[in-house]
Amino acid sequence: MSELGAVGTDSRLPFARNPVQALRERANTVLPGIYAWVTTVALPSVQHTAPALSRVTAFLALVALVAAPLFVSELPRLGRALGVYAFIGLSLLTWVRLGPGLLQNHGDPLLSALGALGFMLYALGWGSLRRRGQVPEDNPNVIVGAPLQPRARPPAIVPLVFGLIIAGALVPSFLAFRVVETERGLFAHAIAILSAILTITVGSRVVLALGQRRVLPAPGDRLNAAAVPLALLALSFGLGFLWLVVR
Amino acid sequence: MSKVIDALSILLVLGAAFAFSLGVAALGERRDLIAIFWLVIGGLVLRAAVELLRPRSSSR
Repeated sequence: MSELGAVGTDSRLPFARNPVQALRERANTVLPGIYAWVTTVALPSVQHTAPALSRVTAFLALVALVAAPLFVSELPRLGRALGVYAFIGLSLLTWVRLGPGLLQNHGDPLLSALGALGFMLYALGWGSLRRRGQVPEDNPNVIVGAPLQPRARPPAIVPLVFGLIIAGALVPSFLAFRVVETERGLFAHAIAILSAILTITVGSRVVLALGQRRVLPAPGDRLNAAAVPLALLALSFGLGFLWLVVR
Repeated sequence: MSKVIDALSILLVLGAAFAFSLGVAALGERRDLIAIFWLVIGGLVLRAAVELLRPRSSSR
């Protein structure tokens, strides 16, 4: 994955012919950006207590967001500056100008969480994947050598399982938004992020191991290798059950 | 049998995510001891998944 608009990369999407086509081709970036802008920038800015300058910066952030795809093909530096630096900077300036007014927004915490998700998708949208059918080794700048062959083709179920693991890893992050107290909520968010990182890290290793050709020890040996944590797990459940009975 | 162990490791990862979710939920309900319990369980389950994936060599 490379950064869209970064000079020197050859993995940009095809050049857009007109503004409508540019917006349509960058819909995966613009739509999450608009959603994130509406939920986290526009809604707090339209409150009666919001200063006028915050409304101006919020509007300019929207202009930068929509204008970025129009320039990203012909003027990638300008498109990137508008889409990343201007949009994020003006959104940040809006939040700074709102000050305590930002915290007085009585909107649903779920809306704020979804807005954060929108910003995440917007950030991911500024990356670009290799186009289908494009062979990286065909690039004239590639270092000549024997092409690297994949060790094995992953099973078809791997993307589904990995998606399930990612979805499960994100659940604590959403639950953390339900914590009302400030300090406790901050701790819950830290725990949620840490657990998500751990779960996705281990999950990716587990899933990728499914597609590798390698000789594993006998299943009994594999179970024996996990005996210590499994025993500690059983012990913890036993102590928990005992605590439930005793209290 | 090996596929069963692979499936078990995937279930352990999903179980860890579930345990972490229970821990964070308990934290929000001010049940700190239960929250710590589920977070520890989540860590142990993840550790077990890793050990199933990369078992120790018997020569060590």
